[in-house]
Amino acid sequence: MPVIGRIVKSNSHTDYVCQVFAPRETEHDPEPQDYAFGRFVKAPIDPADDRTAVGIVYDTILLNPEYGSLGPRLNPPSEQATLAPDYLVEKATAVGIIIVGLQEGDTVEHGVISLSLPVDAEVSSLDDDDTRRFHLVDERLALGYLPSLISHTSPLVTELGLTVIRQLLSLFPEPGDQRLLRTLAAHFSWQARVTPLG
Amino acid sequence: MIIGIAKGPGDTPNEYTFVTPDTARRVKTSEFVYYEAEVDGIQRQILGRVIRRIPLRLYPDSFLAHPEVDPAQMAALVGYADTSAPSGDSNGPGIGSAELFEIHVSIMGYHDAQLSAFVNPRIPPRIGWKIYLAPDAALAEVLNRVAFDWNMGEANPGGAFVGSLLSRPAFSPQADQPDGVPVVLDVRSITATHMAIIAGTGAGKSYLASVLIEEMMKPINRASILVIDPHGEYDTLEEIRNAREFSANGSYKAEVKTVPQDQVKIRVSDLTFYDMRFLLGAQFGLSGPMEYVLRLALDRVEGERKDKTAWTTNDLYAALAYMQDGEDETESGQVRHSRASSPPQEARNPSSGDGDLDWLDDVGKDAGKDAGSKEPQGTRGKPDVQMRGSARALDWRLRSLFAESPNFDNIETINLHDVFRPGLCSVLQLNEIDRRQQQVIVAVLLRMVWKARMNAAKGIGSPQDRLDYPVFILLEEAHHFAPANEDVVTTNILKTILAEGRKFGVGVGLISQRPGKLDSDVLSQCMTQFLLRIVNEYDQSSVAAAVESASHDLLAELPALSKGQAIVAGAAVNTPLSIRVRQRITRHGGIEPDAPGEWAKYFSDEARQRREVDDSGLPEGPPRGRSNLFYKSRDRR
Ligand SMILES: Nc1ncnc2c1ncn2[C@@H]1O[C@H](COP(=O)(O)OP(=O)(O)O)[C@@H](O)[C@H]1O
Ligand SMILES: [Mg+2]
Repeated sequence: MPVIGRIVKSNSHTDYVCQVFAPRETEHDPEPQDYAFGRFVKAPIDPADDRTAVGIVYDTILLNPEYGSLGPRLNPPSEQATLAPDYLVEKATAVGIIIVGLQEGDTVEHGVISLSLPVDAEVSSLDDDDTRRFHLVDERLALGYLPSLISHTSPLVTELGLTVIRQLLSLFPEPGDQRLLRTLAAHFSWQARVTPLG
Repeated sequence: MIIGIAKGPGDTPNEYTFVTPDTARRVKTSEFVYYEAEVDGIQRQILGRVIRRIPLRLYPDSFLAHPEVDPAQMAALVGYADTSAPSGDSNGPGIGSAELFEIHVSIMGYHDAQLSAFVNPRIPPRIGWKIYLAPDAALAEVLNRVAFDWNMGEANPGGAFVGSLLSRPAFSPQADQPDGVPVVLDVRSITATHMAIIAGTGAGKSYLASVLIEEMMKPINRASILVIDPHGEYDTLEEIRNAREFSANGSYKAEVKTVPQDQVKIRVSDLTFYDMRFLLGAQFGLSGPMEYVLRLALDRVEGERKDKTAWTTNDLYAALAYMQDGEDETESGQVRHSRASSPPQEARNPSSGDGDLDWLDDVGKDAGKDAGSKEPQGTRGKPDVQMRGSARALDWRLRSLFAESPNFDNIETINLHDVFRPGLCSVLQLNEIDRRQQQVIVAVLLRMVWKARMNAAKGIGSPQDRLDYPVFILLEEAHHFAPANEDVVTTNILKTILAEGRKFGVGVGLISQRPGKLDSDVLSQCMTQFLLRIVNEYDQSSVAAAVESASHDLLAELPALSKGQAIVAGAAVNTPLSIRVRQRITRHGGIEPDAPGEWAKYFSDEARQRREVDDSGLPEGPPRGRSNLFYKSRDRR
């Protein structure tokens, strides 16, 4: 499970910002697909137990302090890395994460959770098995977080819904689940693609 | 059983709404619910009828997009869990019915046993009050004007158990633990203030009428019923004779008598001028002079019979012959004339004079229909050319009428005491009788019954001329006997009976599939109405106009009713009810003709063989096959 970064701030109880680890900051550098749009991620609420919050990457922000500061420069940009190495890390990628549930051992809870993440909590992405496990409630496919996800104000939520469902379609091949997911996908597809043009 | 929680007022002051998940699907339209309220210090159950059911929660349309996907599963998928629904419901853990309904109820009130009516206390339910589904037995008690005897499995005396409440399970008295609410009508109201069964063809009118007849023939009622049956579909009622439901340990046994159309006899002397005119006017109408001549002839034959003995067709022909003979009076004419004990003023005076010719000129000018009313005074009844022609034409028409109709007889006539008797249901089959003749037969009969009942009420007349007990007459195809915008021979007597029948104990049941073609006064005089499926909008509106007690929402159901489902409203029930008509005890007659079946029969082996034999021109029985030829040729030789 690739670790992708750490929580640096929050916009609300469910909306967090995770700064992605810069190269060589961790053992394995996070790959871009590990923090891609729609990716399921998790972070421990308290390192002392196994309660983890599960979220979805819904936004990406590039941080570049240099942008807009066109002041006098002592060195040409090509030599800067050698002359002032600490300057590099200030360029960073951050991702927005919306928390959609709680996992504690085998039990899963969807929707708004009551606990919050601490600053610096380490965020890692879920692999396929974990993602599948998170979507099984009482051994049934469930996306109980979808309504609260949709109520989020980001302009990309319907696309996010679609992306999530597309992932699940490949994770839940049973015909019954496929039917449900396709019906749901059709709903979001219409909302994302056709409704805006109406 | 608590079914929901009051929400607030409805669209009118008489309505309220409540909310229910209705997981067991009990709250249907026309269902009865109640809440409890204190009225003048007494705790009352305030009954109301469900008139509308509005879903409060609707799934997004796209949840319904896949025919194999249950929207409830979709709701569960996105995390909806109905924790309020009883567990073990429908689809499994976590998937309950997501539905919630707002129910509109029209308040009837509490049942006041003394008034035998519902009293609306005008106390609407407060928000949060509990709404209960009225239990079967309690409902049966307050809805029925005559109680149902649960032990006996039938209505109490004076009641007719015609079916059960549509919103509840079908009630069967034979069941161990019968479910449902039996509906018992008040036979007293039906017979005193008449009833009408209105519905489209095939909706179950005759079936329902037969159920009603069955109830009235049971030992609890022992009625005297006459069925006017223009289609010959009531003969299966004869099975009543052998069914045990219609007898009471030796003291009573219902009788059913079918009178086939060739035995329906009306004595010609019972026909009035209007009856005759109506009968004769069938094809071409009667010209003025013909009407005039008819009147003269009838006056003459009736005048001759001061003693009220019946005149015969021969008397009538003789009177017409007298008029044909005219001026050149023959011996026989003279004889006929002198035989008349008291010839009417106009008919006498066969003398000829100049005045005749004036009149003839007049008639000649008017040449036609209204001449009868135009004729100058003082010349009436003088035989002349015109009149002679009319008399001849009339004579011919009368002869052909009476010759072809077996129903009008010089001597025989229906004896009221043969068809009316308590415990007897008579079925008068009028099929294959010409419409106008049917109408005249019914008119004469109704007049006879009316007269006999009046005599009985006033205590006059001989026992033969009296009917000493109330009677009930069921009239199929009622729109033929009291059509809208047209007067037929039956219209008047029917209106009289409907308006005053209560006084003299003549009850009428009208059955019609064309309420729009039925005289609206006549329809509105029937105080109990049975409405079955009616699709035609014009008919629906004529029914709505005539049936005041049934509310709008009830009538809106008319096109949606199925075969055998009916709305009963009016005097025989405490409140309008939607019912499911019970099964008949006797078989149902009037089976629809099965044309495809008949066609198929044509090709059956048996029919084919019979045809071959017929075609060969041979009598049945000769050896078949090759030898046929020989047989035939031999035969020819
Ligand atoms: N209550 C009922 N239960 C069962 N069958 C019924 C019922 N009412 C009507 N039917 C059937 O429907 C058909 C038409 O009924 P009928 O009474 O002859 O119609 P209508 O007199 O209205 O033209 C009949 O074949 C009858 O058996
Ligand atoms: Mg019928």
